[in-house]
Amino acid sequence: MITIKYKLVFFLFFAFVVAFAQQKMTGVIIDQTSLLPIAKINVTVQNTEQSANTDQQGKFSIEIPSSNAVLKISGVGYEQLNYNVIYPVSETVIIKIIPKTIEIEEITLSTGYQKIAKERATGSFSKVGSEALNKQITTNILDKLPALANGVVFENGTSDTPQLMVRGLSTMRGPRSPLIILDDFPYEGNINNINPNTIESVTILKDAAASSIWGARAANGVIVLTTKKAMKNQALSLEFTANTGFSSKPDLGYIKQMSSSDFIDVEKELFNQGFYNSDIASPLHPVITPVVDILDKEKNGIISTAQAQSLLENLKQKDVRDQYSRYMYQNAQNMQYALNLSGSQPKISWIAGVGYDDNSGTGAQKFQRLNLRLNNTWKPFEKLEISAGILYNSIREKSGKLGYGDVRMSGNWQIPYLQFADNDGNPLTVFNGINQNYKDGLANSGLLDWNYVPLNDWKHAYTQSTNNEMILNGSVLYEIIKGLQVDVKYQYQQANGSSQNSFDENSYYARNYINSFAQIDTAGNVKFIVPKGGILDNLNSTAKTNNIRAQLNVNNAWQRHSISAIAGAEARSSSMGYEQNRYYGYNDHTKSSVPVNYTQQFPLLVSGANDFIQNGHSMREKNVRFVSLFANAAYTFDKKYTVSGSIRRDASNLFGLKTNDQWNPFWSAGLAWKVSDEKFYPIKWLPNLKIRGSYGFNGNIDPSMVAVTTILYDTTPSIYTGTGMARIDNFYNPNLRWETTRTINGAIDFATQNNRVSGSLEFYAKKGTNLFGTAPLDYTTGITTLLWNAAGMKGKGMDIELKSRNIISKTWNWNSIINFSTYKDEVTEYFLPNTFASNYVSVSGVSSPISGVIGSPVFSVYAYKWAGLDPLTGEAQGYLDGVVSKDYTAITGSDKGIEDLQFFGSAIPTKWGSFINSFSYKNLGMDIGITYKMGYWFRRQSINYTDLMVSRLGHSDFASRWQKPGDELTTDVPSFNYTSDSARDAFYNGSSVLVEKGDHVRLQYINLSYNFNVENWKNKIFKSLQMYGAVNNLGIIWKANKKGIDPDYSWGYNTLKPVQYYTIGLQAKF
Amino acid sequence: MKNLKYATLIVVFIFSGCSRFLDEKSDSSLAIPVTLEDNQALLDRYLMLGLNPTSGEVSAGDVYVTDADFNAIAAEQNKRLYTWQPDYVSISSGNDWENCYSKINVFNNVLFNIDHYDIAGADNVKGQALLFRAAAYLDAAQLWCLVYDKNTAQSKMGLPLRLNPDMNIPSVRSTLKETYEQILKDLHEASNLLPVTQMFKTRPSKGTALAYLCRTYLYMGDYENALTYGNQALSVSNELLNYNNLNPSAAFPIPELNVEVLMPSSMGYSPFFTSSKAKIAMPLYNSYESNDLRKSIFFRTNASGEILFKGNYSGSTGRMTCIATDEIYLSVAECYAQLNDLSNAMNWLNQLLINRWMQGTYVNKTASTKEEALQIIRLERRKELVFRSLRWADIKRYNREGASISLSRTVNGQIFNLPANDLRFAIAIPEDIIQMTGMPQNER
Repeated sequence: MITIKYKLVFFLFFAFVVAFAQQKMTGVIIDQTSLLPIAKINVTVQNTEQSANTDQQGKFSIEIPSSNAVLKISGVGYEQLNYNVIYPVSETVIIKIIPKTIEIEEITLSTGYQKIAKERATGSFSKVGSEALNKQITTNILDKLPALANGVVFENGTSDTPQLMVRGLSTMRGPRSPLIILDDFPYEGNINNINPNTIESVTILKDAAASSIWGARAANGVIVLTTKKAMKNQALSLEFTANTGFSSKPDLGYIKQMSSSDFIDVEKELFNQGFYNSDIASPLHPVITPVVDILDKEKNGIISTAQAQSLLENLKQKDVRDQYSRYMYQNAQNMQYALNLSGSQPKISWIAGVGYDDNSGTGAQKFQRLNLRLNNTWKPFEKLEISAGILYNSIREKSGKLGYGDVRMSGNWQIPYLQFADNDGNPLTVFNGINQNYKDGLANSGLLDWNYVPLNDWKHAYTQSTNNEMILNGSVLYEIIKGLQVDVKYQYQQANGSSQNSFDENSYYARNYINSFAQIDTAGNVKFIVPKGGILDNLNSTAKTNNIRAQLNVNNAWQRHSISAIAGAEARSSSMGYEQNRYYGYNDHTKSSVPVNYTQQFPLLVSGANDFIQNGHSMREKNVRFVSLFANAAYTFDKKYTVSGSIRRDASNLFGLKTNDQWNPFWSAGLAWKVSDEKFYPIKWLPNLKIRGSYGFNGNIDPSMVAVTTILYDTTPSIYTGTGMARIDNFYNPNLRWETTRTINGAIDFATQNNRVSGSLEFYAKKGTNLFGTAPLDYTTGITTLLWNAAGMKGKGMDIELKSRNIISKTWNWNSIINFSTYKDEVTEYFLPNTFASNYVSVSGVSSPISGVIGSPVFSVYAYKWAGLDPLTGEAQGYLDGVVSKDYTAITGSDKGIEDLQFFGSAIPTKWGSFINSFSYKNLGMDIGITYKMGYWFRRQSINYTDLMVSRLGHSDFASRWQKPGDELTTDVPSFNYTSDSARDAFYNGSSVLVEKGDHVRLQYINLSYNFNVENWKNKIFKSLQMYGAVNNLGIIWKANKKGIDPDYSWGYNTLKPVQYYTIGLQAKF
Repeated sequence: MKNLKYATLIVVFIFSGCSRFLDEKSDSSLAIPVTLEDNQALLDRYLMLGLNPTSGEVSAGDVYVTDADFNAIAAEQNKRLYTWQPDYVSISSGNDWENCYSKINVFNNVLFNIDHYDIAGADNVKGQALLFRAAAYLDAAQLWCLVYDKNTAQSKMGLPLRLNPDMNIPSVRSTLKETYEQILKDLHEASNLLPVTQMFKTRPSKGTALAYLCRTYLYMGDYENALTYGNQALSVSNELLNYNNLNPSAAFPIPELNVEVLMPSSMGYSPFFTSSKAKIAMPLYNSYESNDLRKSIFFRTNASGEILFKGNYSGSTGRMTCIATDEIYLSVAECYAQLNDLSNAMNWLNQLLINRWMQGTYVNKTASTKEEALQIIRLERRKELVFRSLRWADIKRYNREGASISLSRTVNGQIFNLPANDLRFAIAIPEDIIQMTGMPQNER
């Protein structure tokens, strides 16, 4: 752990004391909240040079004029106070001063149902305010959280899409995303629709007491986004933000691509062995690579050996990464503007905002976002408050150029020497799908041009989408009697998406598809079955959500009691429907298309096989409905002791297409004790100490699961019968229910004198029961894997949040925030333990397998035990029944158990956090955000010779393969064998030599800002004006692995590291 | 306090419509299969039904790949299957066992639904499900069981017979006798339930059930019964394609769902059977006579002079395993020969072959002994039904009767042999299945 050095530097107390006063005054300065005396508070007499500081007992003594003296009292962490001296001056005056708002006591937390004072909270919350959020410039609000929020991490180790996690896992197979709440209601749209500039704060609800109010959907944690609200009592205020950013090009050198020279040598050898003969001879004319084509032409005497040699030598010099970098990638450019306007009068307050983003990505892809919002609160009389709001988001996106790996000849082929342009930059044809010589032979046959030119194609084949989303909400808050309010809220959300996959008439896709169905008769006449023109796939989707909630709020305090409670009910329905259509012969100018015959088969030009024209029509509708009852109450005695409880019951139309009579209850209870307010509390240097604990339950659901055997109709009917086709989707499972997670949380919140160091320390333990677990079943049953509530897990961890104010002075300030979380989970029960070794070391696919082994982490990294390379043949060696073996089929056999594997540890980080430092010197500020992840493992990619031969997928490790005896001392890469052996590759790729530690430290952002001294300007138009510059994604500053791999970006073969982003901007308040 | 009442009213109002509110289907394409249409929709999903096993055709030896293409086969298990290894011949996911039994599970579900939801007028759908199930078990028995012999069937291992969709019932291997009894029971029942004609050719009809009864009894060596049902099947449908009407230069001359097809079904994917790589052994190709149209309709030569197969009964690249009238003609002919009725035997054979020969060139084949008749009929059976996934079962049953057909192939210079009646004629059940169920593996 990093230790904080407490550097206490004071610049405040060097005033000369010039005595010309007539009277001496003494006083004690105490904290209004704690009533404790405060040291080192400066007291200055206005319009004089008299000044004094308080001592350890808070006492001061000062000379004052005989009348109308005003004391200016200021100190670190306290609001400045102007104190009018009351004459005659008594012996000792007691002056209370108010702590500044960074005090933890002042924070209110929003749960989406109510706002609660952090002081009285029993649950675990982590709140990030707008100032901290503004330090990173991102399009997506959630991207900012890992560097700021406590207990939150993006997990990249178990699937190809990063997963935001709050306090680790709470589920194995169920949805893992936290529930996102926008102000009052769940937000189920695309998070990219939300403009980060409209967000005032983000609150993470981490434990049961905090989140169980969200019941069946809260187990993964809840993230509450609170939008900016109108400031109280401010006639008009305006806030404007503008920034523009640009990125570097992606670093393609990060891709471990096999060298062109090695690749061509392999192709030559395979060619000589007849590897490509079937393809070359095939009447179906499958595509062959340029090198195979050259070699075949040489073999047939079409070109000379010398010509072939020179062509191959030329290709060996090429690297497709250079081509991508030169022709496909560019510097991204982002622009972001936001304007927030708000005003308030005694009866009406309002806020309006406009946001606009215009981004152009590294592949020239476009993203434009317009956000509009208006919120109005009307208080016609004291007891009634009516609010209405509208939020409108409009997003337009357009795909860009082809990224690394997108230009393919067939399947997943990755040819390292492909060229998109000649040396003069003229676009070149890339072989695709069908043998290029065959295509060339048909060049004058009347078919459409059949060449694939990737450099031009992206302009003709693209996806364009628009998404318009509107959220309307209204609420009525009425105070029935003092302390009792009825609160009714309604929200309607509608999102209309439309996406066009457009292949215009010049796109390769359309030309290829039209040619593939063309018919050439014996006279050479070409007949096009698929009409000439473009092909358009049009997808329209609509999502509608209705929420209604009615609740009673009780807030009352009498004598030493205070109570805060809510109880209510809500209903939610969300429906999502989509319809997809395909149009042939599409003309974008006239918006016309040509009908085609889907009911009859037509012969394909190349193979002669009969096929149907693809009918792209499908539609579907989904409805999810919830009804819930909830209540939450907190009672505080003497401002020191708080007990809280909450309960919620949910019912939904999921789980069985029938009303679920099993209303699922979730409840929680919590306790908090403000120890430092006790009279006996002895620790002077720690004036704030609170202990709290909670216990409770949350749920998680997977909407795709139902409790009866259901069938799923295909979106298109049978081409033979014209009637529907269906498959079994879910198997009968009467016991299906919500996953339940029990969480116990214990924490202390603390703050030293003047909040120099404040923070919290939390311990939690969670236990998930009825988790959806998957296990390979005896597939003689017809079911390969079964998913049901038959798994359990437990997790425990610790969250530490430390905020320290290291240097505080008039000119210099240095604050630090340290977030540190640990997390460890293990499987506690698993139905039909799945212990086939091959399942644990699968290296393909989009997600890691669940270990399912009781006692080991839910996501574990296992590997085949490694016995080095055979010094004679360079073949990898493993262990079979404890003996060194090369029987790869047996080692990787489907009946081998997990006990034969080496266990490394968790695949998800077990320790993570962030370290943020904010420095300021006068008007200049700098923030540095560092994140780190520790205690986990990942499997790196290496060469797979079967993939190389079959899928043309190489890896730079090929260059360091074993080639001669002795190499085994310097390399772990097995020798190359021209007879592919998938078991040999499966063994090596799943072996322990490829497992690496994932630990790393990342420099997430640096932000520099300058605040202008607007108060000194003659023109008083600005309240504040700030200019800033920020850099995001600076990259890794330390990592455990020595292979140059960023563990967050190691999944799959084509993963690139995110580009560095440079932004400059300004923020003005009027 | 009046206000509180209103608030309570609102809450009550919200919950009054609650149960109806929660009755809404969560997904429009989801259904509980309670109707006849739902269950027919399950059976009409040809994509699933198409996943017929490939292991038999890979093992039978009529189709081969070059050494270079063998070396490029991605999954080691496939290579082991091709060279008749005793174990680890099933790929880990989507293997034949999985494909067979996932189909059987659908049929079991349909049969369960008809019974459980008391679906009226379900004879046709029930008949289809029974027939599909029997067909799947019959295919499976050819792969994972030794050949049926009525003298030993009681003691030989059969298949685990799953007849109920309940996944909790453990899988236990039945005897070979029980396996065939179940197949026959389902087929007999189906033949009584199915209509003579179906609305769509993709759905099996009464003729299909009779044809399957003929095939099953033939496999069992019960020639009387095979003949009875073969004749019944042909009395329902005996149409043949005249190959003179097909275009041999077409890429795929035989149309899909043609008059011979009694039930279409196709093989799953096998890396050995791709259009460019699957090659036909030259001796087999050369056994076709020059006037035999099948030589040009079934085969084409690639640029290297190797023989590729294009005679799929799919009109396309799909490898069909369908049951069709041509097979029944051959089965009936074989039964007559087995029962020593040589004139009927050769008559049925000639009726088929005259449609395969160039118009006016066919000379009726004759045989003077049972052995000679069987030899001719079996050769023509192999030539007619090439790449229809039937050869493996035929070799097994011929060997039961002493044909002593041994298989041999050379890969990368290494010779692999499968002697007649070797235990490896029952392919290894996937090892993970053995591990999970505790069922005995086939004897090695």
